Amino acid sequence: MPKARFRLQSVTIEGFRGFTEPQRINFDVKHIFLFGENGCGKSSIVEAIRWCLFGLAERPETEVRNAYYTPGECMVDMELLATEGIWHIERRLRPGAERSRSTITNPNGEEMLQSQVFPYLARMGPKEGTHVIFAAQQASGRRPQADISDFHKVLYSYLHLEEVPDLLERLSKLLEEQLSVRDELASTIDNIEEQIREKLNDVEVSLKELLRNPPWGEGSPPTLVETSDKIINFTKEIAKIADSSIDLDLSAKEVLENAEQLSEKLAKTSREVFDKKLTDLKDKAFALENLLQIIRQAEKRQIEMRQSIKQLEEQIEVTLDGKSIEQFEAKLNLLAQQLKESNSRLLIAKEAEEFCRKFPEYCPVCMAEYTGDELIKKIERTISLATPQQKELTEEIDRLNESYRIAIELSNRINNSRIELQQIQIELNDAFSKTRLLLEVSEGLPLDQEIISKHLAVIKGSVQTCEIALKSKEAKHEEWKKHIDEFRRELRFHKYRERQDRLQRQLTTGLEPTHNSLKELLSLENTLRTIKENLEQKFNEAIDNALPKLNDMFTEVYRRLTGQISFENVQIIRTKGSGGSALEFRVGSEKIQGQLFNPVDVLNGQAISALHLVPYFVFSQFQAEALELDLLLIDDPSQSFDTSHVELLLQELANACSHAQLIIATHEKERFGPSVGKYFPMNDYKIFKFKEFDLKKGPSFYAQ
Amino acid sequence: MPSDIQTHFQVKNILDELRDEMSESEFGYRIQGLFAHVILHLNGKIIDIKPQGHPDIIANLGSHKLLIEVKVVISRNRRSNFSLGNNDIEGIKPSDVNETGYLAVFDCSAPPSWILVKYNRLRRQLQGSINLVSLRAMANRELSLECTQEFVTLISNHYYHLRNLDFPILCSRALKGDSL
Repeated sequence: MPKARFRLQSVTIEGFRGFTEPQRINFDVKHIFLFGENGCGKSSIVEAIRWCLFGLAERPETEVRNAYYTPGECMVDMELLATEGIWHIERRLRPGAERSRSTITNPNGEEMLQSQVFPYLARMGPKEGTHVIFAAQQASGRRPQADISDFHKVLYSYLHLEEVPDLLERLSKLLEEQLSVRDELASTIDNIEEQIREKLNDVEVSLKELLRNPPWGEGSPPTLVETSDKIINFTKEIAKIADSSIDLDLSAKEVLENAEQLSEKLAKTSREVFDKKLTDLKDKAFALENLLQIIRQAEKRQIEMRQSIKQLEEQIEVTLDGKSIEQFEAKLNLLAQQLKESNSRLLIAKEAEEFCRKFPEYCPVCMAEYTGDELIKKIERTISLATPQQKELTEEIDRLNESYRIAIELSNRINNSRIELQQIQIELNDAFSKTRLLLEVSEGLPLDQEIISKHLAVIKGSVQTCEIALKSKEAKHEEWKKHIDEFRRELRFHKYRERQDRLQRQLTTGLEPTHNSLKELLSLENTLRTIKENLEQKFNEAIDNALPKLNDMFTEVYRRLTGQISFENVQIIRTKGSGGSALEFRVGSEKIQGQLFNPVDVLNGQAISALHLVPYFVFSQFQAEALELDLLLIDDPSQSFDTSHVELLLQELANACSHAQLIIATHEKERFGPSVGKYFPMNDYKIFKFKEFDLKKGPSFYAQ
Repeated sequence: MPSDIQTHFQVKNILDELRDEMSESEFGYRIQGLFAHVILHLNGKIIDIKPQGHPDIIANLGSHKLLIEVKVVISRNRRSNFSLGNNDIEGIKPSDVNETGYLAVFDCSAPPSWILVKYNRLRRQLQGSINLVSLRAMANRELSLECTQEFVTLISNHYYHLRNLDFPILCSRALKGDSL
């Protein structure tokens, strides 16, 4: 009979699930039956063994801690009996800790790693309840700590293929990752290429625009060397004019910039020089024109003034009858004297007449008696004679006075004119002085309007010459500017062409390394896909090959457990693809050939419960001879079973116990108790009965 | 830089002009017809060109019978991933070892190029769409380059009367083995 290297000797439980204070269960026999009502703590023992070996990876471990146990310790210690002595496996969840820790010590008390003792510890079963636990160092290729709780996983384990589904899943994941990486890389390349294309398009549009009016005129485009040569020669020419030199180590663009700076400098300098010269000349011309104008007007006024004086003098001469004013004044004085005398005489005559008329008998002079008639007559005659003469004299004097007044007035005008003439002369002298200064003509040299006009013409000629020269300079500068612009456009053309070449190269060969990376990714992807496809194919073939024999074993155990006569055949079918979801239980009957049924459709509850147990009995036999730890933990296996089927179950368990150590928990003491002795030798098993359960003290049990 | 790179890029302009003169569908047919002439230039013999149905071109090249599905990707729809129908793929599935199925994709973006992918490499990519760049990575590089070079030469030599070469003319000449 195969015998495992280790046998469970005892379990000590503290603070785990229903347990509080440490309690030890001694397994001094091989198999243990735990009988008790539901909720009295028997399942806690089954769970404690499982937890001690595997922990609780999928769920928070704190849920196994007994909340009523105040020290807060949670511990399960298992003693394993081996030929060399007692080994300990202890799992402890410290107070407040979230995860448990397991330690294994050998008979010498040395701590060992689980991978050294049970490198291939595995279990089959649901999360809780029934388990098949096994470990075998010899089971080469089996994954350490495998949780093969699902049926299909057990099958793969049986076929030594338990790692394949995992591998397939990892391959699928890897393929997905590869696909994602590849898509990402492809998308990146696509984006980069698109960006390059956009840039290329922009460059081509610019080139097209430039080539509509090529700066080199007609003919084929120059090479960059040709353009550079042209720029250097052009710059040399400007540099020579500017009395400067050029650095030939500079790029064509920089040389052109130099040329532009020199050209600007030259243009600025010549504009400044010419502007100053022109301003000076124009100012001089303007000033000279003004002076000439002043001279012209002064001289004209001088002439006019002289003529006017002459006319006035002539008028005076006419007015004074060719006499001088002095002569005229003398005559006038004389006449005035004569008039005065005449007036005196006339006055006397009139007095005398009046006297004579009043006193005709007296001489008005000597007062002698005198007959005045004659005198009166004489006086009257004198008066009559004197009055017209006097009148004539008065008129003459008035006439002469008038002439004199006119003459004086004319004379005043002449005097004023002369003063004015003198003023004009001063102005004229001033204007000539200024003109001499302006024209730098010395006092000794003649200067008149004609000479000044000649000078002015010369200055105006200079202005014109200067303006022409400036225009010519500016035209030259414009020409340079045009050349610079053309050269710049030529350089831009070369730049565009260079960019076009570079972008085209990038599109054709530049991204080749990245494309090669993508190819490598694709190649890897293909390799992975091929591996996966081949692996899947071989995997499915292996399952398909194993299924007939396995179906026979399942059917055999199923028949033994149920005594079925209606649907007595069990078959596992692979519906499609690979993996657990594709393996399904079916039942069939010899009576209905070629048809398989879903168990839930045709079996009663008892048969279905039995069917669920079938894999445990079948798989617990596998490699039993090579196992190091071989435990069959069964929690309430007989649900829905009637008494006769409990018998069948015990019979099957007896078969399994030929190699495995059984630990069976059930609340059906009445149905199990009487039959246990029939199938198990007395010394091979022990029954623990659970009495009661106290929240603070934990379960109470005793060995029967 | 090889001088013919410029020519490759210039061919894009020629094709852009041609495309502007017709519908996308007509342009696609012409590219299909021109591709038949590319095969001719590679010393192939054109057996059939289908305006509808699959594959688009059947040709003999050496001892092999080629089943070719032609697709044209123009610049403006290039960014969207390339998707193939089942019929496209099934149409080029080889029925024996003497047959080779090719998907021939003409990418109009600069520089225009042919991408020839063997059926065997393509069949695994049936799920969903595939990026054109990935398709290029799957391609038979030598044959793709050869076809691109021939195509560029063809367009460069015949650009002056390209607009007159409609699909029926291209087909009839290709089937007769006549050059353009």
